[in-house]
Amino acid sequence: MRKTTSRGVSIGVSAAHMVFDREGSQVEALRDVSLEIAAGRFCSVLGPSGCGKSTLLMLVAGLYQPTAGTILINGEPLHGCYTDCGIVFQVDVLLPWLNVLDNVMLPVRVKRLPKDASLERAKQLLDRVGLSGFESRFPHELSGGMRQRTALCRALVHEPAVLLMDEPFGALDALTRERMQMDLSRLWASNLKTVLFITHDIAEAVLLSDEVAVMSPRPGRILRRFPVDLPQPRSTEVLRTPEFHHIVEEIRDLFRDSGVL
Amino acid sequence: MRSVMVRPALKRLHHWTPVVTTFIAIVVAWEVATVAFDIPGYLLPAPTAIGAAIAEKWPSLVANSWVTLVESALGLGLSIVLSIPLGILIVYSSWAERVIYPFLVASQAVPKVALAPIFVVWFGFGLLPKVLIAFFIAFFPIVVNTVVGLTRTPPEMIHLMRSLGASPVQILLRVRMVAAAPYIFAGMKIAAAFAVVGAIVGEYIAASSGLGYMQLVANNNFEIPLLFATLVMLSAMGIAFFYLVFLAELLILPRPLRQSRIDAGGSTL
Repeated sequence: MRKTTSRGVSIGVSAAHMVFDREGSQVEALRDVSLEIAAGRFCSVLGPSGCGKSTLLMLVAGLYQPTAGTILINGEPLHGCYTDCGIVFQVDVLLPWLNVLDNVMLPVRVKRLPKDASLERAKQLLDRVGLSGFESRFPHELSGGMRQRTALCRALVHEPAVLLMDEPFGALDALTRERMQMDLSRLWASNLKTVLFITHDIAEAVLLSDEVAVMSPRPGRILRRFPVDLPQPRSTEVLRTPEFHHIVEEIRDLFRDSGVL
Repeated sequence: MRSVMVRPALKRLHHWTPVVTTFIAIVVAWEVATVAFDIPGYLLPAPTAIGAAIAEKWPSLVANSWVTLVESALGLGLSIVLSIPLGILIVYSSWAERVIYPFLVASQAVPKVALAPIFVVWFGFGLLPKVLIAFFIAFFPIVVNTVVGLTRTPPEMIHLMRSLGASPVQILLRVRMVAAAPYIFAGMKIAAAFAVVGAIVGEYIAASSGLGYMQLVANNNFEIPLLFATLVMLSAMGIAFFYLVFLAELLILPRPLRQSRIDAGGSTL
């Protein structure tokens, strides 16, 4: 198994095309998508629903193979699944028969990593997202926000080089979402992983990211990339800065021009 | 402290009281009706007459119950052992899904009881044809529920496991089978009842022992209370099987996957 050091994995998407065959008819999800995320950077892909941004994440994870084009991890083409990543989906997909701690420890058990050190780390992560004391609860006993925080800990427990997030806070209420955004920002700033974050929420993308890549409606293409030069880790204070509003307005204009808004 | 201990027991009693009371009421009404309306014993024997028949023929009833029990247990066991792998095969092999599954579904249009005489011709009068008929009736619900359970696994769960580098076998055993287990148990509960039906039908066609055989003999001799007595034994056997599967479910399934009600047929994840 390839062991990569935790810091310093860059992601490249080179001229990726993705065409799905859905009951005989061809659906073009992605058209000529290229993207580079430097090691340790937080990059959001922002686009309207159905634009293929989730497909892009699946390509980077190696769970789908692109119809054409290449995925590059540290400059090397990816074949098969990328196993040095943590994924958070829109749904928490906790295993209902495992308690919170066992769910977080799932990657450790599947990957057969040393247990004691990981157990310590799992407990620390749970503590940092405010879930200490809930270790032996089962998923059905938790709120949506708590379940998603558990899923976030699970994605981080094996210290993956890359964190892939597919609208992770989309199903949460506004207050829980804000809390989770700040949790994520703190966790990320303390251990810079390369992050690919998929969202349709402009403010969320700008609030969290070093860079926002904006996608067009299907077939998805990258329209433009916006660097966000605000200090990390961010807090909700950022929401009041003129820089934040400037970038949000620019993205809105871009969406307006491309007919999304 | 004491009340905490007593309360669940009281609650359980509270749950079963109406069931037991209703059962007793039906039996009493039955007894009274047979006397009041002077119903002849050859049409509907009184519960006391059935009880007397059970007491009188007890050794013979037990011996024949044992025969039927073995037949249906073997049939059920065979259907569990074969159906679960078959369900897995159908889910994992697109060939099996396209070729075997339609045949299985179509086979359900064949009245399986009608296969019994053929099985007797092929396999004789012994244990084997009864076990096979029980198996043929019981296997289908387990296959279908295994297939349904395995395909209901959320795709994200499989994606997650793959991204952790889990092998297909790991994904099957650690995630898909566990997620499917409540469905499989629901299928086994149906199969448990079906297996007894299969064994009885086999005995009706050709047998020299078993409760089905005993029923035929009682019928020919016009011993109607004995006919009903065998029915009581059969019902007890069916209920025992059902609870056996339920008990296995309690022992094997992790708590969050268990069905809270014993009569729940299916469950969602």
